Amino acid sequence: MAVPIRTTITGVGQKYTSREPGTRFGLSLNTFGMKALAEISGDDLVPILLKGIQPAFDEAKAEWPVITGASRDSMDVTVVDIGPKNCRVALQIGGERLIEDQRNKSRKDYAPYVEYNGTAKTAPGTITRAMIVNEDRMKEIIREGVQILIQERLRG
Amino acid sequence: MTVSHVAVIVSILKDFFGSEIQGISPAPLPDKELDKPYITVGEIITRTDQDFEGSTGYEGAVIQINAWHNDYDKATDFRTRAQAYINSFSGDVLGVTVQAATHRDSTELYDGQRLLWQAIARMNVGFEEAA
Repeated sequence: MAVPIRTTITGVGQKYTSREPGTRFGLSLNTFGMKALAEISGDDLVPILLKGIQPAFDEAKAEWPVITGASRDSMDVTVVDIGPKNCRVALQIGGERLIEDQRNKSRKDYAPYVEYNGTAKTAPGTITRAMIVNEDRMKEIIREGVQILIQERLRG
Repeated sequence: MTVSHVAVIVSILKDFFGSEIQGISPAPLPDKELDKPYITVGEIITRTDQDFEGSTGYEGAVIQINAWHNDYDKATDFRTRAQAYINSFSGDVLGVTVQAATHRDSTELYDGQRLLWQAIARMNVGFEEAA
């Protein structure tokens, strides 16, 4: 039986201002027909999405411009939302982790400025490019993960 | 494509805003005093559509539009209007056909040195060489 699996790659927390720390770009997965088919809920999708977003995380971390390393080291993957039928994870940078880093003398969350304006040597959009370039790979990992999950559930 | 995607978007928005803005150019923002909003445009990434015979001529780009002004509401208003106009636009500009555009994300940053708000919209925009 064909199960519709929809994966979307979006900016998570669509509205960001410099008063709200942390910049997020995420992956979202809905269960759609999976719930009826194999009693799959948003909780079950967490490990699949965390694995799925890994290629973008690895690439963003490798490409992010480094002076002290504080902003690069603030990059992580976080679960944004778990619902009965969906799950969202995000690649996140900056926020409190960067503000509190001893290497960050300004004590400001400057990561979004790097993402949206680049640096003297780097073009803007490091995280966005990592998400887009790895989109096919991420979807493949998620498809495989969901397929295995459904098979396991149906087997009992 | 002989013309850059940024040049196409700059041309469209320049015609749309006319004298309402102080200027529009590729990013970064020029170092000058702003009386009116200023727009900068950048390209984050472009993916070329391929089929079995090679490139189809269609290019999907992520375009970043920045509206700058010292007033938050003005900056965000011009960002929203720029985004809405690109969303609704279809036609040929500088020998390029602009296809459907969709919104990706919006963000606002404050430049504490120049005392300016930067209202940002990132959009997916499709481009094709005009027939």
